[in-house]
Amino acid sequence: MTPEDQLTRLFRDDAERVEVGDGREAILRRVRHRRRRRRARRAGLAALIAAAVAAVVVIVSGGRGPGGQVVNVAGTGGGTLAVQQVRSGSIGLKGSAASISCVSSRWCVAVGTYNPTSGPNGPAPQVDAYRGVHALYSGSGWRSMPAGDTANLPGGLSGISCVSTDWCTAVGSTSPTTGPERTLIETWNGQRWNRMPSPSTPGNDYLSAVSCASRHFCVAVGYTTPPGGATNQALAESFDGNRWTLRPPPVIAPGTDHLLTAVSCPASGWCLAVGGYRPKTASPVADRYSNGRWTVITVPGHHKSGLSSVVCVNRARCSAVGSDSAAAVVEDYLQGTWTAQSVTVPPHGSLAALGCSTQDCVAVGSTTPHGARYQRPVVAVLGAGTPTVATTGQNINEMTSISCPRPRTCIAVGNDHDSLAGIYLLITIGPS
Amino acid sequence: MSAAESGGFDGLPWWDDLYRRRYVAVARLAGLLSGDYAEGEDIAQEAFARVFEAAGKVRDPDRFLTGTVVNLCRARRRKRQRRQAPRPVAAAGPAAGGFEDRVADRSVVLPALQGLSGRQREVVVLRYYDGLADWEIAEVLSVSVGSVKTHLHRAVTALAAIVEVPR
Repeated sequence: MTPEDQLTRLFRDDAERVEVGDGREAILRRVRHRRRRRRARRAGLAALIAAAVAAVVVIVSGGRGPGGQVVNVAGTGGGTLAVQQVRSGSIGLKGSAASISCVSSRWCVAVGTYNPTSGPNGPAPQVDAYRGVHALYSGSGWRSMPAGDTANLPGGLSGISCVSTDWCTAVGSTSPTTGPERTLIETWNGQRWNRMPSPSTPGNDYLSAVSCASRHFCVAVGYTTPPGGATNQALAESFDGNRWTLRPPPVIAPGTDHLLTAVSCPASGWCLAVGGYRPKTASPVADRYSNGRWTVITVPGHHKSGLSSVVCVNRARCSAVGSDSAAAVVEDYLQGTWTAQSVTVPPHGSLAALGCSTQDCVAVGSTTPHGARYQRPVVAVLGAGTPTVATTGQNINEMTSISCPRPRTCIAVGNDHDSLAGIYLLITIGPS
Repeated sequence: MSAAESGGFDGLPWWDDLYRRRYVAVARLAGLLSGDYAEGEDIAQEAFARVFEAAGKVRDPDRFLTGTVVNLCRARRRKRQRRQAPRPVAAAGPAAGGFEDRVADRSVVLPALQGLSGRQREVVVLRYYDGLADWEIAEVLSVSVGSVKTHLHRAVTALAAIVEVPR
């Protein structure tokens, strides 16, 4: 045994004699206490903050409408397109919203995760009580969708892709009573959601995103933690119209974390997935899927984080977004070449999701403006000229996904700061 | 109403996963770093509450958690130092017996760690208890890898003198 091993053993043996109880309740109490204290402090500062915000916010429009509340928007940038209006509201589900896919501006589906066992006087949260949730946007509001045979399946949903109003695929993971996390894939047939058989590896498997070029071709990506493994490996599955098949991306280097967070399939047989890997510091990575095989392609950006979202208009043109502690980055993939453009997002801002129509792309993320205590949504309109960035006034926890069903109209989803429940932003852009 | 106020961490499966994977280890890590195992659970609970509060703002909750624990332990140590004069290092003394005996002793490590500077203690605990590599320790502590190596070397030398770790 080497001296290093002996020291490790000495430390671990010593520490492992200490009995550690369940700390969930104590942690919950601390979180509640901190929030109460913050709320009291916030009440005292409310007038001051309101004055500060009013000084910098450019009010585009105001009032309420059937599709949610029009929120104030403050914008900067020199692009040819800018945010015209942002209408926001609740998705109406207790659960969090992770992903949205729109077929039209009057038909979108959002998916996420919900824990039905929680409540003011309810029992302690149970890991196996999580459920996937689905909500339908019809242009005037949201309603929940029938869960079908997955209603009582423990798990959560992370990604969705809709081809038509009667065909969508959602992916996530499910937690069996025993054994590791398994992949979860559901399809919407116009009437209800049903689980589809999907392969899993021996490890803990999580599917993060899915993209369908048609009813006969989809690819889902995520990551797996092999049994006993300390590092995560990229996970991918493809759908041929009948069944899902494991299509593992190549291992970049043994012992290196490699996670895929988003995928876009503009045509059957071809997709681009993005994520991150970590040899020493986090770095962006992209995997191209073509004719049943994955190829890792280098993203030469210098930012120290993975990419979180990608949209491909066709095989030759994709854009991805990501953020590190220094800046938000948009990486354009044109004819096999990456070009990075830095987007100036207000203090501590980041971009998390990207949506593109046939004409324009809009990214959403979050920022904490000066004087604000909580994160606010950021909307960046990409295109000709400097990206135009706008912030709105809601307190959020995060923005998670955006879909742009037609030019100049996008719908983004995220989660409220206090309730962590799903919210949406209906974004209209136009000439700046 | 927040998830925490509604009675649980609903909607944050990643938090639950983090808790299950790391809570016990983090409580012990905090005990080693703060020099008091009894204080470890308290620090771990505070760190997990902060991670919950920071949901969506941090990209690497694992790393954020470790960094928070290090900072909280540092703050506790400072507070304790302000309240009481530091205990003499010699009071810890070398543990008696061979390696196996020392391991069997109630706590060989805590008294031994008292002889180290704050930074040396952090580096040596993150390496030998948490199993972090030099570059990971450098990221958590916001210092250079060279600095980590220097502190580690000095810490191991000091530990060897106190607990007679075979070198």
